[in-house]
Amino acid sequence: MYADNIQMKKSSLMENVIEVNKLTVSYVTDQGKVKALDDVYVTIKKGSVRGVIGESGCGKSTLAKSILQILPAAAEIESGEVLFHGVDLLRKSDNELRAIRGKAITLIPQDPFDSLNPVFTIETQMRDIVAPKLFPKRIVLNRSKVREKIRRLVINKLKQVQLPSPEKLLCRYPHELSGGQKQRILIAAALLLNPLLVVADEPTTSLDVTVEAQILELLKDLISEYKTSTLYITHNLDVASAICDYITVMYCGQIIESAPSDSFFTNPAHPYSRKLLECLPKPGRGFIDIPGRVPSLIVAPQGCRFHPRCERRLKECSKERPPQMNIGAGHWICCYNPDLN
Amino acid sequence: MMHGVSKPEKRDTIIIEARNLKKYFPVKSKLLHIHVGWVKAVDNVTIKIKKGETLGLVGESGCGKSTVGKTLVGIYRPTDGEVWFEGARIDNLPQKPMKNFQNKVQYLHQDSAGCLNPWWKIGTTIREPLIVHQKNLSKQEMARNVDKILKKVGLEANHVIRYPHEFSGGQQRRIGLARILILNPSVIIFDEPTSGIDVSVQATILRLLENLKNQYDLTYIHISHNLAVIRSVSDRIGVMYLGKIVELGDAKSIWEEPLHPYTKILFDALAKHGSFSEKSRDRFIVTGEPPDPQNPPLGCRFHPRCPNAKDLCSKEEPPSKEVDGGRTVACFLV
Amino acid sequence: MTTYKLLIRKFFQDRNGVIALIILSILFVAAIIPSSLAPHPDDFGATINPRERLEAPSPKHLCGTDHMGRDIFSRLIGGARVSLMLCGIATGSALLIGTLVGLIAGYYEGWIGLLLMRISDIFVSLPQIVMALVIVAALGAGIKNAILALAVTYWPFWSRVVYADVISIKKSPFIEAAKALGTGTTRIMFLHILPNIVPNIIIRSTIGMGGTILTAAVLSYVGLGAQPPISDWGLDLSSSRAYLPTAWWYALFPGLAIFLAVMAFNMAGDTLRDVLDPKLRRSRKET
Repeated sequence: MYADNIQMKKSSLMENVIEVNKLTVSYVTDQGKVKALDDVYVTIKKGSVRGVIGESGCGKSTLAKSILQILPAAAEIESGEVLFHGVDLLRKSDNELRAIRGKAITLIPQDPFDSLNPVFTIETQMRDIVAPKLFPKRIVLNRSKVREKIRRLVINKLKQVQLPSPEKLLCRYPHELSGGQKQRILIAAALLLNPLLVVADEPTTSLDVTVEAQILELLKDLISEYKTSTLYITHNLDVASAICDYITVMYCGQIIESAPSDSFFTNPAHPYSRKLLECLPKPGRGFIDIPGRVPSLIVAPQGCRFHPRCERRLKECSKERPPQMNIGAGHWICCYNPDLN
Repeated sequence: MMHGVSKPEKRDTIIIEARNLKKYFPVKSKLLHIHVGWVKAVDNVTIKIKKGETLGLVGESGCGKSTVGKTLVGIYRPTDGEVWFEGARIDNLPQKPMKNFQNKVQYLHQDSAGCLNPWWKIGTTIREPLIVHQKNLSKQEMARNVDKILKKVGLEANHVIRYPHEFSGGQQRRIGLARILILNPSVIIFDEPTSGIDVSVQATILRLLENLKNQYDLTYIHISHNLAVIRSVSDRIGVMYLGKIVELGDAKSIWEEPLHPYTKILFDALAKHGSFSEKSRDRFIVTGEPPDPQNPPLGCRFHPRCPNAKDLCSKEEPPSKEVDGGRTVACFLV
Repeated sequence: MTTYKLLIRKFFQDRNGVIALIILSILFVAAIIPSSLAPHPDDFGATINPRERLEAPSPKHLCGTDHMGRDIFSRLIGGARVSLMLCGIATGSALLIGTLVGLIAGYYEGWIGLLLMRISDIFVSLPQIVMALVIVAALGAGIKNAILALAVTYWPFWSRVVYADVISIKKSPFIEAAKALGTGTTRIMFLHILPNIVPNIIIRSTIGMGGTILTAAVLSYVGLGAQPPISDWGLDLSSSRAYLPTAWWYALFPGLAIFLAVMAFNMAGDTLRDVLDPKLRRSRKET
């Protein structure tokens, strides 16, 4: 049903850190099977930031969890592959994944308030992250020397995320710190071992506007300095345009548009993407919204899932899912009737 | 639809106002529950809201904007200062007479799901205000009112038998709204009405609020940290920082020319992102974090983070002074 | 599907819950119509049948006979009524008093809350069985006093549970919203807060019933609860001591009855917790 994109397959394994191909993930619920991800294709070029945009229920969290392989028990991977430097993560054993997670692929979680263990100091938690990766055999001969080494590494990283007096910070507990500080610590933790891929799950959503601005600047600086490939998940288009090199738009578990950032924001081709950008409130103009509601995934519409709410819909849209169409310069969409001007 | 343009008969009647409002929350030590300090959530706030306008109250977390809203409505009693409604003082009334005002000034919670009792059907929840305030209505009349109000907010009458968790965030917001509107209030205070809702649905809610305002001749206080939304809905904007109002005035002019350094930084943070968003302004570098409301800095509360701070700023608190155009700014350097 | 149907369906999906329900239903039926169920209903009270004394289990006497020749199986069925009634009334009254105290203490807090909670704390710090024994010993043995003792020693536990729940629910936005609308205190306490506490109370009370049955059995065992010749599990267990180890059935079956009843209540409580919990949890937005 879904046409293969020949251009994507051509890209060499060296260039793409992540290649998600034809991934379908379902959840088993009380009311039946729900396809959270339906034939999803995502690539992340080495050293770039790929933003995944979408509203609630579109599947972006599921995508992140699939890459990290931390899906809940109710999730079923029906088909597809997740290639990390050419190696399929879906076929890896738990032990192998554990070695990758936290070292080669790390996560910056969404909620700084819940993501740190309240009963341990910052130092203990950072050490817990680093030690198993640096010393997988767990036999440590000179404990204090090792601890000192880890401590220096952590302090260095905390300085890089612009936290003042990191030595003092290490003995604090999470509840003594502010949201912004905690988020910086989480970023430091994610970058501690210089990972190849960072998955950022809406890291600035719960922060104040001014703090969010600071964190975004910080992320931009760190990413460009270390050339870390990043998967940046957000529902905030402003944030995406600030930090992402490439944009992927998801709707109801499907990828509907993928483009370099500039191309996307100047010329969004898919009607949904266009509407999404128009929805941002501007004074002097009435409120623009998208009619209808996001459909429940249990009874998802046939064909293109957006068609019931689309003003450009054609007859074909309700019958079959539109194939991928390349509209030039790495910009491709899934639509029978895109707006190309 | 233009905002910032008043109705043909220009009205300047003040409908609700806060005079030198203070709300402090006591801090008790963990062990012996001894009083050790105060969190000065709202510290000497004076605002007059005109009938028919939308006042946008903006600021970051901890600035006290929610507390201002809750104190105006009566959820909190002020520690000091007064709340006046339609020319009468209402903050010091005992419970019974207070009830008469509670249906005229209403508050919509930020937590759209949390403000609905999870064990009650939404029909019961919406009917509740009628039972409290208009006991003499018959069951049928109450049911009819509930149905009518549901339609007004864009829901259907047969939704009355459902429970809150069966609705989406946007719909839950509407249910909360229905519960407030059924009493025909004059003033509604919205606490972050668009938070937790998808962008595509935000506009629907905002449009609904606008329609209701025009239909029922309401006055709104719109509390939010989302500057884009505040900009599009407000006639006037008030910027709060750590319990104080630092700038207050006409929305358009504040946006085009913010005077207080904090306002500039706040608006800057919005404009910075996005190649397709607003034109970039002269950037102020923002440093540090929003400080602790329990230990506010001496003098001007913003001075530790202010790029223009002078000696005076750390010693005295700047008074709110009027600048031409009906604006007030609390800064020594303006 | 309405909530109740959904809850019931969920309950039946749990195997333990179904087993518990079966056992409890049998107990309830036995409590209501013991005479129709028991093969020898005359044996509930004082019958003497010396010829059939201490007979091992047989088709005529499924659980054997006791030292007075009475059919143990029938007596177990009779004992169900005593147990359930005793524990039902005791737990019910403890619940009522405790919930009321907890509601008031939790809603008003301040010195009322402090006072009520300290009183509860005093009661709770002493073991329930010891207190119950003391009370019954002081007032005199018998079912009525046993009920009183159980209720009096049990309500403080509930008041603490309810107090904690009320304190946390009081801060919820929907209570704030109700207050903002001008709702009166009584209405808030009973119509707004109480329904949110009830699920927790239901769950704990089923488990509590199990515990109360055990405590009641202990009281009867030491002779302070039901008095002979009433059929009562604890009493029968106590009487069986003299005839062990030969008349093993005399001790086994009353003990088994107690065990099954307590276990059934506990399992039901567990299943209820799983069934009722998801509704209490607030729904999160899926990203």
